[in-house]
Amino acid sequence: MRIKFRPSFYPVLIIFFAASLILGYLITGQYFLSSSKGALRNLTQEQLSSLYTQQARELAGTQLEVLNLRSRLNDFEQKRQSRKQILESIRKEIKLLEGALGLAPVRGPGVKILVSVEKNILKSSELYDLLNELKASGSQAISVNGNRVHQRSYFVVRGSRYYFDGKEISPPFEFKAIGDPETLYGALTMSGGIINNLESIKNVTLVVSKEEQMTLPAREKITFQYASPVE
Amino acid sequence: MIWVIIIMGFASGIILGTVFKVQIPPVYAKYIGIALLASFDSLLGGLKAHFEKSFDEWIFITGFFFNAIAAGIFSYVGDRLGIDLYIAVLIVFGVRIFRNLGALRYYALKSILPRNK
Repeated sequence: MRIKFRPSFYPVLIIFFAASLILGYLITGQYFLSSSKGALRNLTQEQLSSLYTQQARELAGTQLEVLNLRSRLNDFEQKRQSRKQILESIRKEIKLLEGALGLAPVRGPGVKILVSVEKNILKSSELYDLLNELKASGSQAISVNGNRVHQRSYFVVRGSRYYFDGKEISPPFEFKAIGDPETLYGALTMSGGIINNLESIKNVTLVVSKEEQMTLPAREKITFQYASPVE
Repeated sequence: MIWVIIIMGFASGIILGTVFKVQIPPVYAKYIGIALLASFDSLLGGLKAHFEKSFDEWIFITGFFFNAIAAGIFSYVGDRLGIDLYIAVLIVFGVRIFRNLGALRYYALKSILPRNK
């Protein structure tokens, strides 16, 4: 093998090198192209068109499914929303009932009655009368000496001691009632009304005042030992 | 010597193409392929001419590019006209590649086995 090393040989080498370089470069490009999209490139027109149809059908199906799912999501969202509303209204109801039953503190306008007793002793029935009158004239929450009145509240008079719900209270008794101040005041102070009646007893003075804003405390927690709700 | 140069050229081309990730638009891939075939034929023809000592740089360079471009354009025009002209290019260059390969084989063998002279 004879190798010629004359200078005129170098351009030939350079040219061959460049030509094969270009070829290698293009071959690599073609290789990458056909290896990445070869699967599709080798298909015939019919195969491609059937593939396209199939894909289009699949796409339509998927889009339909997306729509269905979206509407279901909407339904769930609405249900959730309505459940939230129901929950909200139940919560409000509970709050209201708690207030009404005396389980939660309440506030509002109403009247305050200060009953001062000297020497004389009030009967429990007279205290009941006052309480009853307050209820009858539309008070929505009542407290006696800072104790909330509820459906099982009671007065007991033993000798010269007064008890409310088992707790001893001492005069002067402070009745607070939340309701329409005008109505309450009117009902209490009308002639022949409860105030008149009580004041006819010796040494008992009642002071009724309208209040714009009072806060009545919550009653003690309910503890039922014997009664339990029937399911 | 010439084989080493050619293998080196191919290797560098492949490395370049791998590193820079040649992006050929799929639409033109077919024509580039045809052009590739023409260039390959030109390279083999050049080698053959080199061994026959009738190699001319300018003929090779012009042939290399002109054949490639002409083959590409030929098949493109064929596609436009609805005639599969690229088959003609394919056959012509295919036949030429094998003829050149045959001649090259002859010269390669002659250089490796001098006794066969």
